[in-house]
Amino acid sequence: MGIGGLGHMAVKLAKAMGADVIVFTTSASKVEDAKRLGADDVVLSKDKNEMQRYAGRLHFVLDAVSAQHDVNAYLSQLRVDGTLVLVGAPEHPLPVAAFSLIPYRRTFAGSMIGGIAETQEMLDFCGKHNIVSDIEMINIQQINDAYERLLKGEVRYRFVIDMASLKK
Amino acid sequence: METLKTTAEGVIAVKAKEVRAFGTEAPDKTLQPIKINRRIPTPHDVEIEILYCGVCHSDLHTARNEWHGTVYPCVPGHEIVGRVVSVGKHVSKFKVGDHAAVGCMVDSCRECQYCKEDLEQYCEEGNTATYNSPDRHLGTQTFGGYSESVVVDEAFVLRVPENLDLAAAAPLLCAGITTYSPLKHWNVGPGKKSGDSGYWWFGAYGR
Repeated sequence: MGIGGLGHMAVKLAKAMGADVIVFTTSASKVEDAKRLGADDVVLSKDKNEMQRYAGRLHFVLDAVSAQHDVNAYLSQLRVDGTLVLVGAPEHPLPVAAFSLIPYRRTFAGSMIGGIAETQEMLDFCGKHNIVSDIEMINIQQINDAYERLLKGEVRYRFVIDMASLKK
Repeated sequence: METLKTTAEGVIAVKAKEVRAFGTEAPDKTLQPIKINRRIPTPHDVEIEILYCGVCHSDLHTARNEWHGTVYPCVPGHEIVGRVVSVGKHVSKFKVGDHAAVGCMVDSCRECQYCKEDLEQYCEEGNTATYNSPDRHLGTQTFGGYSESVVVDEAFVLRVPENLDLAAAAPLLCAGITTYSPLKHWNVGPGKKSGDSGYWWFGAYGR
């Protein structure tokens, strides 16, 4: 298990936008880290009772999970007119129950990066709010090991290659 | 190496030079040092010496052909921060010595409805991705940021605010915009109605 590169950025950005941020994680060991990143609350998603705490109350859910998962459990967190947006890309289709959407007029959506003007807007927003990624610097010669660690979720939260190492 | 490209200024010869990179020759091979071609800047191009490049999960998926369609050799990397080392004669936004950044796209058709609405990522022709996409100049696939330099039209080059750490800013170019864009599009922010507990969201992590 591992906290993702996308998720940790989303916590920082959503807090800077003024939202109340609830993080859902499968791992108890990640609770404190999620709060350090700015989360107002953390829900252990493997615990059915925990999953009831915000059921039907959230306006917006950002789904940054790239592994197979039950999206219905997260759709059920949404209030009326709430939206769940996929940015992670699981390999196989995600089954969605009609009654995860119909009763609360919920929306199930996707989103891909942003335009150039919006990307500049994002960078300027990060400059204003002093937001960057939490990184671990590596040399390019370590990239194959880094991929293995990425697969195990061992990076907090993004590897960045020091490209000066290419000249070594 | 020289190819011809039709531009607004007429047909121009695009020359290229070899630069160092790290890439892979096949889905089951590790990444190793390789040489790739970068074009010599055309009039609207910015040549960037790459200082830092973030590692996105997409890099791994593409290097290993997990999304299918990878053309080899493959040089991943689309979270690029660097320094401008040369500019084409019509470049107005950047000068030599500036810090500059490149994200997941390096070009698009610029004429379709989405390009005209600043939604180049949804270009009807398909945006030109920073790696593993048909290169509009050299005719090969595009090569990403695991390399010493990159040449990109200034319209697709970004500025990094001076106060940000350059290395830690690199992941903003993909992880940052991928999350920022939907948060903005769906108006995530403070609660607007009385008694409203705010806009709640969820970042489920990992795998």
